[in-house]
Amino acid sequence: MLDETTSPGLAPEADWDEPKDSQATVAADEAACGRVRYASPEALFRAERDSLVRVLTLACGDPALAEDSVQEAFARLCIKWKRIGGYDDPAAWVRRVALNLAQDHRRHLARRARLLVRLGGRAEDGGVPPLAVERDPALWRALRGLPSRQRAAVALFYLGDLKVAEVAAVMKVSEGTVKRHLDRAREALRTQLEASHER
Amino acid sequence: MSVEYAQDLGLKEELDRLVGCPTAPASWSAVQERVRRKRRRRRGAGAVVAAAVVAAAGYGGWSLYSAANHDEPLLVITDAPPESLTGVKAELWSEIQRVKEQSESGALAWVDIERTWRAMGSVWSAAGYSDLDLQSWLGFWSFIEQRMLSEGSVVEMTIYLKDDARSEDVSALHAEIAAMAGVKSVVYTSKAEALERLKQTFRFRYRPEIFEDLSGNPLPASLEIELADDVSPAAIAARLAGRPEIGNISYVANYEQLLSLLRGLTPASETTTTIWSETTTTIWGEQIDLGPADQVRFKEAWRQIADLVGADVTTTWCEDYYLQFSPSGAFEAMSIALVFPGREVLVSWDGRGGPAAQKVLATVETTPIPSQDSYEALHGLHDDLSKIDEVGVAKILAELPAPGSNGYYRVGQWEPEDEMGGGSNTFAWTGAGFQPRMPSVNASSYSLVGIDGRSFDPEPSDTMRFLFVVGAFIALPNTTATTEAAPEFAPLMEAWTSRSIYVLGVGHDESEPDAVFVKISADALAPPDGVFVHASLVREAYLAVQKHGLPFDKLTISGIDADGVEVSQGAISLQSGLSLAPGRELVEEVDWTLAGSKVADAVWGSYSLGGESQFDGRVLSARLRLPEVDTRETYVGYLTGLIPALEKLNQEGYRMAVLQLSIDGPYGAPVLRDVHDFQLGLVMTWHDGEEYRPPWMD
Repeated sequence: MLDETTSPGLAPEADWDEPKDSQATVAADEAACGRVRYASPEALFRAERDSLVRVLTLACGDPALAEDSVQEAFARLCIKWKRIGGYDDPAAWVRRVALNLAQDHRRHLARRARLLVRLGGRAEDGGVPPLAVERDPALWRALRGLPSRQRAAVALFYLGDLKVAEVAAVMKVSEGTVKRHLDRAREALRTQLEASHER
Repeated sequence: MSVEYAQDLGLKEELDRLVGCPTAPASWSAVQERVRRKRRRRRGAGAVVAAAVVAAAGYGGWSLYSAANHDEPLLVITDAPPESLTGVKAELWSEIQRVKEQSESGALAWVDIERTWRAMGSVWSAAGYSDLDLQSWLGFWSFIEQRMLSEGSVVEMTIYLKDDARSEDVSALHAEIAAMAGVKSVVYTSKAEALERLKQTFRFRYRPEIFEDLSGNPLPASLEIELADDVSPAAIAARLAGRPEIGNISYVANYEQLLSLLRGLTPASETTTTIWSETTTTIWGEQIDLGPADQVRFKEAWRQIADLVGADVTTTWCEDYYLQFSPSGAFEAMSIALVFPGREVLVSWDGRGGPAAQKVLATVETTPIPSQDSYEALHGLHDDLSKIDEVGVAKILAELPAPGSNGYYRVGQWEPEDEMGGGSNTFAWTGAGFQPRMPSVNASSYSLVGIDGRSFDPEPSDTMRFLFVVGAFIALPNTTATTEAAPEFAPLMEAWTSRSIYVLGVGHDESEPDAVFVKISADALAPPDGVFVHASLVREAYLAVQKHGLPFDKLTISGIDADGVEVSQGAISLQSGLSLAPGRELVEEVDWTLAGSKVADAVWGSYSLGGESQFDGRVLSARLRLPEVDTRETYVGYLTGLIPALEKLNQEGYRMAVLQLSIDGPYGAPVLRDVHDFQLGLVMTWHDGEEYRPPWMD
């Protein structure tokens, strides 16, 4: 997961501020603390981007929005790299920002949809991953039926492969709350899937 | 992945398959392009902000200039007696200045202040003060100062007339008083005028409809008298005492009495803290219209207080909860920042107005609790309070001087007051304790306790505001606490020691003068044996209070764990709650250790003997927290073990009549409450959502 290499496409002048302890960040101390430190935002991008897009796709239900939110989060990371790069876990910061961006956008879309309906128009559907619908429509529907926070917990935990403590850090809730979200989500998924199979 | 969820790999595989891989390839160049666009936008925004700062500084400078040239100060407080004061008022004024100065500097010992305060009695309470702290103490004297400074329409005395007083007698009395030396004016107010005045008062502020069904006029007629400065209202009252037409005589301040008391209040050898001098200086800031330089000093003083409570404009929680930013406040701050470059400036502190504002050093805004259930709400509250605790209390404690032998501080108070859904008995408080006997204590515990002594869970729909109070009110050295120096506790200590119960501290404070606060090792109270230690602690306290006539009504027990964290173990009435009537008394000869072991074999959780509302030695309360969500079978398992154990104990002479069993879910939500009355054969079961009212509450 550690990426100390420089991308072939990287410009000679980096597009971010070097953290104060950039020398230290180059050194990997994964074994020591269980967390990966990254030499640059690009290294972090290459390590985390795919996983994060998948998490957000599940959390917000829209792959295009997920991709956009991830890009935006990494752009913000570049600008603040001098500070964020010194964090113990800059990946957690990116996850939280990306998740917030996606959820903010979903709320914005929901408000707009309500306004359209009120004005006599027709609400637009958000982007839906067609493959997901084809692969397992019942599971997709069940996931969409979960409250957003439960869905986010499931996405971070199962697709993001994060520990409960890490999920809690991203969602800014306690570990107990995360466990409860996961409990309830699993229970709801089981109930809905059983009901759909019976039908 | 954590162990407890690792087994659900099936779901993970399903989700992996469902979402698949991102369709678009990772594009770092797209991210870089976004970064460049953002930087271009930011440069443009920076120019706009710079222009705004210049404009704001100009506006702020103009504001300060305007303040400096303000023609009519709201209130002028001087340290020299105004020339208008003469006689006893002038002397009192001088004494007040001395006492205020010595109080602020700490030269006056608290014990002397407390003694004087008690001696003032009704005068103090008539002025609207109920608690003694340095702030209220100084506030009271300012109140007296303002009364003395007020001129014109101040009524010094009111003589209430009896309803059956004849008009000619009243007229004669009126004339007699008006002719007395030092009486500046006498005004007669009839019964009808008094009622109309009351109605006018209620019209806007209270409930005018309460007068609709009023039959008759319950208010008396009165004579309102204004006196010269050198006249004692007490002397006038003494001259008029016994007159048949007079029902009652009232006067707010007996200046002679106050003067006499203050003259006896001189510095003792023991000095108190000086930390409050800064604080109290700022308290009056709200009432004074200061010039620009003093305003800056005022802000600086507030900033120092902010430091004390850990508030910092760069602290996230501080920004979120504490500071009210307004355009004018921001402009003002910018101006002050220009005057003092590099200094931190607190923009605005929302004191919310009213008496409470004078105590509030930090305010958390009214906030809907962002939660889905009471557990999460409570958790959120604790999070907020913990932040205050972590950042603020440690600093406060570090600043405090040594509290003296066996003294302790109580730091921190949270008093939403009627914000929890209305009702007069729903305010909650929290406190942080500090045990000087145990240097390792640096943590504090918070408890949410209703005014009726019961634990308290906010509902998700509740809104509340936190008032984190730092001031002399809390940091009052408890000079009467503990042991040899406090003879009123000696009988209690002796009684407990005779039962091999050794407490870590005992004392009381001004928050509840009738309560005994006792601190004991949490290990000593841990079940199973701790249940009975708890019972003996209460029982011996009750007996000692009755035997020696100690002036205590309540026992508040706190457990101190190995880390020094203080956890409330509840409060018990020492007067009405404990019943030792025949047939109900605790059995002394039983083997408490054995009994505790038996109960522990039957059930897991915590226990307390005595009941949840009032102490009753026949009642055993068992509280269980279930480890899993699906709990019905587990609950039945507990119950089937516990009840036979208790029945067996009763056969051995314990005489436990009632079992209160509380079962909570893994996150603290109530699942079941069962009440088993072994004497009546009654079993009551309460499920979540139903009204729960056990019989002993009626």
